[in-house]
Amino acid sequence: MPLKVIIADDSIITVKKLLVLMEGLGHQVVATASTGREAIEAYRRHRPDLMTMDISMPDMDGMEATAHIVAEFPEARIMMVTSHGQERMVIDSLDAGAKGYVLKPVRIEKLSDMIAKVMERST
Amino acid sequence: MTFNKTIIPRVMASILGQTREVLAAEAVIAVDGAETFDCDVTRLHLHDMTVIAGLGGPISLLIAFSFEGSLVEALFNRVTADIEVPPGEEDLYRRETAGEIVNTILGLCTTDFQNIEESIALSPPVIIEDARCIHRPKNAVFANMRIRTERGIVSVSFVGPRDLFDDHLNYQS
Repeated sequence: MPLKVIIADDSIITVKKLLVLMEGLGHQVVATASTGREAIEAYRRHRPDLMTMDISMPDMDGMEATAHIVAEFPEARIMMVTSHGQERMVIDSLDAGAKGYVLKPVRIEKLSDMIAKVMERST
Repeated sequence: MTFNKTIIPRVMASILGQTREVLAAEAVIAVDGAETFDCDVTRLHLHDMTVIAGLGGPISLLIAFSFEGSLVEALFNRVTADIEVPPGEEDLYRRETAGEIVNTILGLCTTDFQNIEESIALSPPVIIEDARCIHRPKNAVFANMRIRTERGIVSVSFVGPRDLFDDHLNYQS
């Protein structure tokens, strides 16, 4: 089933690449955000089925934005898409409320597998 | 956390390894070799396009990747091959490409420091396009590594302690 998706990342390149991959998987990107604060606003406005979240972003990082969104919408499905591979960072993200974690560079198979896991975990 | 310059060789080795992986995976560009200039460097020369990001926590370093134009062009052509670049925005996408490549390399480097309990924060990359020379203040440590690829050179500079400089490598006395 196609999902409504928001992409939060401060890199135009990553946003465009994720958009192509999401559309290739049959999903609909309803909004993008380039800061943590924009991500929270976009979530409130669109209530997506899934949000991808970068960690390093200006103004508010992705971890803090995730914690805010999950506190307000406990059912939120947020998947970190980041290059941070340190195990401590993965644990901190899951503690903040993320349901999945994909390491860059992102490939379509990796993204598809993690989306399936995130959706399965939240049913 | 106190800055400890003995971590620099380990960070250098990690960056060289991850640069090799990321350039191959993202742009099919091979790294031919590298020369390192350890902690006795007294000045840094920045080329036309430099991406600066900070690794926090116990590493406490600003790291500047200074690219030769030919390498930026090769990266831009490969990385944007499957996305639309609006006419007139090529320069913006060149900068974004360089920033994203550095962000990916440094993020993946944190996987090489799993034994560090504390989270290693990574600051968003800052891009500067003015070639310049930075002299080392007495209380700072500079190191440098020149990575040669088949499409040009990227010179990686290590500056610590991180809080002596702002994100644009200006000294904060």
